[in-house]
Amino acid sequence: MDPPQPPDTRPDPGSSQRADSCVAALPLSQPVVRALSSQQRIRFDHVELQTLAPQFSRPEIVTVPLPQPHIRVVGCRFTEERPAKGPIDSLFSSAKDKPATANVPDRKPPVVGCTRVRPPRDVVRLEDRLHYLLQPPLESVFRLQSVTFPFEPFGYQLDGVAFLFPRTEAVLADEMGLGKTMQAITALRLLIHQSSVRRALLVCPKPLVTNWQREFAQWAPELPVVAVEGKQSRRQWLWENADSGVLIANYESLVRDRQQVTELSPALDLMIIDESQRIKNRHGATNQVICDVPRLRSWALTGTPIENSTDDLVGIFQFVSPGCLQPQMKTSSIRSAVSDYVLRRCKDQVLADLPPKMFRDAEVTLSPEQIEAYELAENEGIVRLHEMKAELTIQHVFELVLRLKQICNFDPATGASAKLDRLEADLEECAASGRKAIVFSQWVQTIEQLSDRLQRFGPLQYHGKIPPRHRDAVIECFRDDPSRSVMLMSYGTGSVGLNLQFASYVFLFDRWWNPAVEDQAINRVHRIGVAEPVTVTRFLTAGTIEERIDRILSEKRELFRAVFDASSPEGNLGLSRDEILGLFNLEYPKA
Amino acid sequence: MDVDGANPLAAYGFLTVLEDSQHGLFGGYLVLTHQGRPLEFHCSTPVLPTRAQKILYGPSLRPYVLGDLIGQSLLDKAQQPVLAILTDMREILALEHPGLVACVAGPSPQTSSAGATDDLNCRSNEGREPADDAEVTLAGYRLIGNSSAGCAGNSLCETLMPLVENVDLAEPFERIREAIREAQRISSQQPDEDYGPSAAA
Repeated sequence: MDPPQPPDTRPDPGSSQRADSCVAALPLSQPVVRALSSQQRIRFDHVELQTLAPQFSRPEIVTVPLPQPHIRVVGCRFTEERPAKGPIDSLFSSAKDKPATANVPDRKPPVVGCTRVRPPRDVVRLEDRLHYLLQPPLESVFRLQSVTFPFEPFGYQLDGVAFLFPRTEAVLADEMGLGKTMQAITALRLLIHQSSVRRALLVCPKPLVTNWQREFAQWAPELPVVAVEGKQSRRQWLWENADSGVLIANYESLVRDRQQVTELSPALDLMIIDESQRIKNRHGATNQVICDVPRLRSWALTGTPIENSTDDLVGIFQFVSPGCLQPQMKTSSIRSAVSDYVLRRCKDQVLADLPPKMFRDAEVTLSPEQIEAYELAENEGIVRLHEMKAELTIQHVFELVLRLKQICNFDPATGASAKLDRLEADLEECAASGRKAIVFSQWVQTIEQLSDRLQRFGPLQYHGKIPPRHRDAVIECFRDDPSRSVMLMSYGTGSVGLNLQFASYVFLFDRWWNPAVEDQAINRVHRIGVAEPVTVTRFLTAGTIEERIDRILSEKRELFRAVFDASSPEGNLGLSRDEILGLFNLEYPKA
Repeated sequence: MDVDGANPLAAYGFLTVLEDSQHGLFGGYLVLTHQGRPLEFHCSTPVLPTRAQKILYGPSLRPYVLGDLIGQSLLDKAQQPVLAILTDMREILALEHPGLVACVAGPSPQTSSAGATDDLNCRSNEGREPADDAEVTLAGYRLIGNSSAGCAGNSLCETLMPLVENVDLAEPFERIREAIREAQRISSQQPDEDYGPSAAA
C-alpha cells in the first residue's frame, strides 16, 4: 500500500565528495524542470536548485521530485442503501436524522465519554472493521437512543458492554461483584433496541431466577421478561409461543425440557448462560442440552471460568465457540485462543475506590477431644484404604477426607470445636460494632450445630433446606434487622448470585474443594456497593487434612493466573487423581 | 461541495492527519451527521517528505503536505456535501473549500481552567489574534474559522450548533485516528488490491 517513494536524496555516507549541503549530493540524473514559483507558500510540483558543491564551476540545476500527490484513498460510505451486516450497522436506525436547525437555545453540551465498540478479531474486512471504529462512543449512543440507567455505570462496565455488543461468541469473566449482570443486560438491551435481537434466552441456576428478574426490572424495565418455570404444560407453551422478549430458565428445567429447547425454530437470537461453570463437564447432560439449543449468539457469564482445571474452560467453550478449545491444550495455547473471546477484569484493576478485602488465616489447634477423634479416624481410615488394594476408588478417599474435615469442625462425641470457640470470640467483636457477618460451611449439619451455639447473635440460616420461596425473606431480615448479626450459609446455596454487601465480615468455617467457589462466596459481600473494608477469616486446623488441602488450593490459584495472567508461569496445577490419593500417601491400584 | 441545502441531511466533515514517525503522514476525512453518525470516510496512504524536501520547503512544508497534498486529495474524493469542515490542525485551515472550514484549536480557556463548560453559548472572539481569522468559543472549544472562506464567528456558531448538541467536537478526530491505525495495520499485512480505490464505495 505504500506509494512509490521519492528517490533517496540523502548523501551517500561513503562518498568521498563531501557536499556542503545535502542538496548538493542529489543525483544529477533527474529531469530538469524550471522553477515555477517564488511565493512563500510553495505550490508547484518540481523545483530547481542551485547546488553549492564546490566542485561545480557554475551553478548546476538539480531537480528534486517533490512528494507526488500520489495519495491513494481508502474510503467507505455509510449510506442508507448499504445493507446491514452486523449489530453496529443499525445502531442508529431508530435515531432519525433531522435536518439541521440553525438557532438552538442554550443547551447542555454532549456528555464527554469515549467508550468505543471495537470490532472482534473475526471481523476481517477492513471496511467492516472501520465501520465499527467510526461509530460514536457508547455514551453518545445511549444518549441518542434515550437509554437511561438507574445508576451511572462505571467506565469498565461500559467497556464490558462494548465488548459484548458486537460479539456473537463471548465470555464475560469479570471477578464476582463487578456487575456482569448489568453489563449483559445493557448489551442485550442495545441489541433489542436496534432489532438485532428479538428473542433471547437467559439460563441461570434456579435460585437466581428471581434475582435476574429484579435486575432486568431495574436495568431494562422496558424489556418484556418471562420466567420459563412452573408446570410442564406452561413451560412447553412458552417454548413454543414466546417468540420475542427475554426468557429466563434455570439449568435443571432446561434439561427437563430438552426436546422443546433443542428444536426451537427459529433459532434464538441470543443465548446467555449465567454461572457458566455449570456446564464445565462437557460430557454432562446439562452441557449437552445447553450446547444443542439453536442460537445465533452465545454469551457465557462466569466469575470462575476455571474451577478445577483448564478443561472447565473447554466445557464452556463448547457452548461459546465449539472447536475453539480442545482438551489437554497447553495453557499458553488456551490463553492465545481465547484472548478475543474472554474479557476478565479484577476489582483491583477497575475499582480503585472499592474498600479493601483483607484476608486473615485463623490457624487453630484442635481441642484434645478432636485430636483424639481425628487421629483415630485417620489411622483407621488409612489402614482400611490400604487394605482395599484393587478395589480402592477416589470415592473411598473422598469419604475419608470428608469424615476428617467434619471432625475438624466438631468432635462427633462431645461437640467440642476449637474453630467455634475462635469464631464466637470474633463474632462478639463483630456484633458489638454493629456489623454483620456471614459464616460459610459446606455442611448443613455444621450450620445447624453453629446455629445452636450462636443463638445470642440471632443467626439466620440460608442453605438447601430453606425453601426457595423463603430465601429472599431471610436475606431481607438479615439486611434490615439490627438484632441479626450473623448469617450461616452453605457454599452450595449462598455462593452465587446474591448481593450481600451490607455485611463486613466473612468467615470460611471450613474450606471448599476449589478456591473459585470460595471466591464466589466472599464476593457476595465484597462487591459494588460495599461501604466498608471486608475482612475474610479462613479457618484452618493445624496439622490436619485441611492444611494439606489448603496447599492444593493455593496451587489451583496459580493455575488460574497462568491462563488469565500472561505474566504467570505456564503449568497445569489442578487437583489430579493422584494428588487426591497423595493426601494419604496412597497410589492408584494398577489394573 | 454543495452546501445549498438541497440535501436534507446536515453533514459535517472532520479532517485530520496522523503523524507516524516510521511511515509518515496519514490523512483521514470523516463525514458525520449532526448526531455523530458516520456517513463517509476516506483515509490516505502515507506521505513521507524527504530530507531535501524538508530543506527546500522549510516552514511551508507542513501546510503544503497537510493541506494541499493530503487534505485536498481527501476532499476531492469525498462525495457527501457538508455544511462545514472541522480540523484539529491549524495547517489545514487554508483548504480551498467553498464552505466553512474551522480548526478546533483546543479547550476554551474557561474549560481548561474549570473543567468542562456547561453551556453551548457561542462567544465570538473576532478581532483577537490571529487577526485575519474568526475565533469563537463553542461548547467548550476554541474554534478558528478560515476567513478566506467568508467564515465569520456568528455563522460558524450557527452552522455548528446542531452538531455540538450531540457531538464533542474533538471526539471524531480520535475516531479518524483509530481508523487510520486500523487501516494501516491491516494494509501492512495484506495485498493492496484488497483495499484499493475499488474497494471504496
